[in-house]
Amino acid sequence: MLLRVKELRTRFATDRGEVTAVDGVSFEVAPGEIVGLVGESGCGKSVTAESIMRLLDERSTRYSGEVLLDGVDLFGLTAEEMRQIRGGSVAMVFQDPMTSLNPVYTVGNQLEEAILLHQEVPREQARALAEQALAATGIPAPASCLRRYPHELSGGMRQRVMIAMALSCRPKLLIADEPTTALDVTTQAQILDLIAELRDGSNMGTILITHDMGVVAEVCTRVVVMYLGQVIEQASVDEIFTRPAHPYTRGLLASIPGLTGDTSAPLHVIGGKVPSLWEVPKGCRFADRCPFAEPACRDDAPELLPVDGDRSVRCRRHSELPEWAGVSHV
Amino acid sequence: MTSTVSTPETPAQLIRQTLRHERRNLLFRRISGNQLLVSGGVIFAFMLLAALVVPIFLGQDPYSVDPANRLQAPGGVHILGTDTFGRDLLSRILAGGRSSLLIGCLVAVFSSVLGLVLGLYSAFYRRTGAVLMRIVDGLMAFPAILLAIAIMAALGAKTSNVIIALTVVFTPHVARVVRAAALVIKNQTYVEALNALGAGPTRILWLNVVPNLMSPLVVQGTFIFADSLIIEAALSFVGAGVPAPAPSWGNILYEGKTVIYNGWWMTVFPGLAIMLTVLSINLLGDGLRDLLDPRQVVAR
Amino acid sequence: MIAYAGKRLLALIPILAVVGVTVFLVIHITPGDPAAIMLGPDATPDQVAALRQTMGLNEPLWAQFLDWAGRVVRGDLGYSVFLHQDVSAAIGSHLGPTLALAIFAEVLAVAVAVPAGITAARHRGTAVDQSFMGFALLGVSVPSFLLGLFLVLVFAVLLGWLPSGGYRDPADGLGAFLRFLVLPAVALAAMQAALIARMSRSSMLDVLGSNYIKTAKAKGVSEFLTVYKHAVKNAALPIMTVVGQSFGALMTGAVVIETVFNIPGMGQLVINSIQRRDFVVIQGVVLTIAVIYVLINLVVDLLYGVLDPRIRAERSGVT
Repeated sequence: MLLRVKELRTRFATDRGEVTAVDGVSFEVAPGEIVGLVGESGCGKSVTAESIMRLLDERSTRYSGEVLLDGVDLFGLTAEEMRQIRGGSVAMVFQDPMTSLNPVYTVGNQLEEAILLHQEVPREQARALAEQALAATGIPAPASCLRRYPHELSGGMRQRVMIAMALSCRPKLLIADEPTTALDVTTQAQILDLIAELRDGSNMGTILITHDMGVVAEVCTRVVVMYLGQVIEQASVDEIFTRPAHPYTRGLLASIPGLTGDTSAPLHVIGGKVPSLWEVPKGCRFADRCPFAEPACRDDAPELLPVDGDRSVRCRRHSELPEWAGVSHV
Repeated sequence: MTSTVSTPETPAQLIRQTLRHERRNLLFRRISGNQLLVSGGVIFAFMLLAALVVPIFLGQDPYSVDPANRLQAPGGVHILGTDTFGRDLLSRILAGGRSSLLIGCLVAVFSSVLGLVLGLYSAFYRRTGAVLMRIVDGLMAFPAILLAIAIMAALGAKTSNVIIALTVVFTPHVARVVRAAALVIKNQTYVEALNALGAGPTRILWLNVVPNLMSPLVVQGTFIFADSLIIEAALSFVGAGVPAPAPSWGNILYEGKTVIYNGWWMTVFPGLAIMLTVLSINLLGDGLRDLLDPRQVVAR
Repeated sequence: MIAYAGKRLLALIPILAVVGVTVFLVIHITPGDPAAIMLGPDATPDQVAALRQTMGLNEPLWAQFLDWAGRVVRGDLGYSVFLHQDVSAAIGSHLGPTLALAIFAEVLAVAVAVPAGITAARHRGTAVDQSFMGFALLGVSVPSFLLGLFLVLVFAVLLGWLPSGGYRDPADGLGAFLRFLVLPAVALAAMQAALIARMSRSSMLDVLGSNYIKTAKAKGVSEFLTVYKHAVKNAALPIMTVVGQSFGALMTGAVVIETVFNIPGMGQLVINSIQRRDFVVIQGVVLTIAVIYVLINLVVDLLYGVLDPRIRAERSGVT
């Protein structure tokens, strides 16, 4: 197994006390898989990703649990060892391509830097590798692109540069944090095609963070659904879309506008709002918004328990839920 | 609505009264919780009070010359010592404080008013505004003290000329800030909305634009007060400011420099006075800025 | 880049025009007759009339201005009857000490303030950060001439380590030259160092919070390089503006500091001329310093274009 995250807990020290943004998250990524990490804004997906890479400020952040990359616990490494891992074995692509590249250095400079940090090669070879990396992402005229500054490129091109930079050292694990959210729909489709191609062409494992179930359907093999810092359902992508077990997952899927069916009916919404991290509910965290909640749900917090096969759900009533009518239906 | 009911009788009145109390309490808490404001205010109030009240109790005349007692160390009758002419240093410092504070205050007020008018005018009348701004740019190309020196050289050393010179120095800064802020406000959607509703330009100007300008204006005024204190002291120090024998912290320092080896008190005390006053005004200004709108950017 | 530079140069012209007019008007806003004031109360009417003629004061105002501007552009700043010299010669001989002082102070300020600000940003919130910024607040509150006087009291009067005033030419020995300039330079540098440190810190903090810094960290760039390669170049722009402006402030602060420390520079020249009502010299000095100030801002603007490729593209209309 490429990546095993076990009971990851990430706590931040703030003026108002310590807040737990990621509360006991566990999941796995196998080589060649694309695991979709799904949830609303603020559910902890990005913090999970940044915790895996130990990108957060360690003066005010407390990690616990284990993050095993090929059996090695990343939390046990020194800062210097972790630095070698970042960009080398594990690479990350961020959400906003417009601001994620350094504006005062050329694309080539930044790509070569990534390559030289993890591979002992002479400068000219680094440049050649950079050009190859750019070409692999489908950028036209990669050689001249190397000489450009980020502000001379469009959003889609910049995101390809980011992907090229992440892939240039052939990482074992790629974490893509909402890579298409900031792009227009056409470019989004192209980037997703690129990601799918890359999955097919290598043994790299990918964590794709998104809030868009459409993206999940297109490229992911497995799905991990998060809510308020916890994993509430895990399944293969087929199972998620055909037999979603958790009421929240159902709510997410039901909210997707459909092309068929009654198009004059109002779109489904999940009522209520996500509770604040300062006031985490005692029982099930989703109970207040759950159409199937019972009093017992509010008293005892449910565990994440395995269901048939590889799936797991954090819901005491999941087997009692009515038949699933399909995406876009309640 | 303007009744002075003290005991609320209806729920609505109770709510209104509670809201009023809450607003007052909130403001009070914001002010007292704002350390900058409070410490700056306290120190400044102290200096002001000292300058105005203490001389009455001291009973010394800042102008009376007493050659027999020249350059006495601090102590005894002359708490801070005497200067090169035997005049009591403490009363000279206090008198100098009064004049420096008055000059600073007048300069801040005049330049704020003039700058407000000029800035508003150039924001609303684009063509003359552009010309005015070129002139403002040119004036701002002069370093402040140099411009002040040039104007004082031309007009001659008199206290009123100091006020004029410093006002000329600072008005462009205010005008620039006011114009920039007015342009932003003018283009905001709510002004467009007012326009569409039929509000006349005068109404828009006085009831909407100007009140929004007040807080940056006040904060900048405070900093101008501090800066003009410094520049006036510098001018008097080089002999281009308040003319002798009228005391100013700057010209006491000037006289003190010639005897710095055997009259340290003539340098230390006016110097401390300047430092404390400027520091307290800066703190006050920083505190005011935090209080009035932490998001505003005031050209310092 | 050339287009950008060209535009900046053109923008200078109206500013220089206003500067010129203002300096020119100095003589003419004096209440009374400038010539009479210059010669003093003992002058005879004939002497005054003669001076008026030499100074061209009888011509209409606009003609005087054009004549003056024409001469200034050619380098002729007039003649001082008090110094018996061309004003440009007087300025030339007095410029050296002022420049030396300003440059020494600038080097001191930048060398101390920029690293201090960057360090404070890297260690934000810790004792290091708070103490640096505490010093900075003090530095901004003490006017330089006051600091100069206090420094003289402590280091010259009390401790006797350094001279209380005077100037030594570098040609006569570098050691003496530096010894005499240390106190005035420190006094001048303090306020600018405080401003530069504050700006360095806030600019670095802004940059360190950017997404591309997160990217650099995710690539595995070391903390040192993240700060000094990725962050600094981006933070440099506002820092440079403050540094550039500070040089102008140093030159003008020197005007007053020279009086504190008896340095025979432009400051002393201008101040002695005020007492003598030597308007021609005052005009010449003020004009020279103002022009230097404006040129410094131009250089800063151009450096901006060199450092940040976006500004080059934007200002010359490419993007």
